[in-house]
Amino acid sequence: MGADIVVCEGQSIGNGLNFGGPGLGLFATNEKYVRQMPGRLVGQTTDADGRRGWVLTLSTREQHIRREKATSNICTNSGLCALAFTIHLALLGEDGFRGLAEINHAKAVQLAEKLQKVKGLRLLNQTFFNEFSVTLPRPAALVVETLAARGILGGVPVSRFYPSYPELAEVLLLTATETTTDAHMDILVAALQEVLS
Amino acid sequence: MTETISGSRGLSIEEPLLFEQGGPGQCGVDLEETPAVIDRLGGVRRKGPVGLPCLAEPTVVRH
Repeated sequence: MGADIVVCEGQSIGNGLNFGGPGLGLFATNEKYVRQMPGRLVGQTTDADGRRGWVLTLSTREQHIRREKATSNICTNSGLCALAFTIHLALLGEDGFRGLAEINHAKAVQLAEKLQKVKGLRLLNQTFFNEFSVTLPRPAALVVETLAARGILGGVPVSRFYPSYPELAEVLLLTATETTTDAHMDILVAALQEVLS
Repeated sequence: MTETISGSRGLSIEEPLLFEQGGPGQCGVDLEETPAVIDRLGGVRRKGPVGLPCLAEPTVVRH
């Protein structure tokens, strides 16, 4: 797509919710931006005997060289998050990763279709991966609180991200993952039908 | 006196990368069947492989 820098969220691979953090992000850049990249970079090299080895590379960016001007900022826990991600991704592999993505998308499509039954709810996204937004006939934050009182995590009100946009007050962000069951979806749909009636 | 030996060989630090192990069809997780739906990906479904290795669970654990 011609981007200079790409970023994505990776928390759901191997890392728990951990009460809000730490999270895990992935990013890559064109080679010309590599020196501005935060984080450790490990490169492949060969030793004097021609054997493959791995070393910290572009060390001039690192904390032990550039001190406060360093662009790297890595601590032990960053390494643990990355390790958990790596183990999970290795277990998934090519087929598992693809399969997991297929299931996530299919569940989200199922949820979106089931939600069409809820009167007053309108699907905003015609295309999506596993997250989509809907508009409700009343403020989403209130609906989410009402659902929470029933023991249901009913998505995220978009007003939480954009509190200064009152026109988004009725927008609710919903997701489905491989952990979402048909029963979960039916409970949510039934609860929304009641709450919004 | 009987000689005692350790069965441990320690860390095997010279081993192939995960990317150089495994083979087609291997996977370390069991996933449920994908529900049949008409996708809503808007035509951006990935066509080529991601490039990840296919590994059995014991391979990942040993690594």
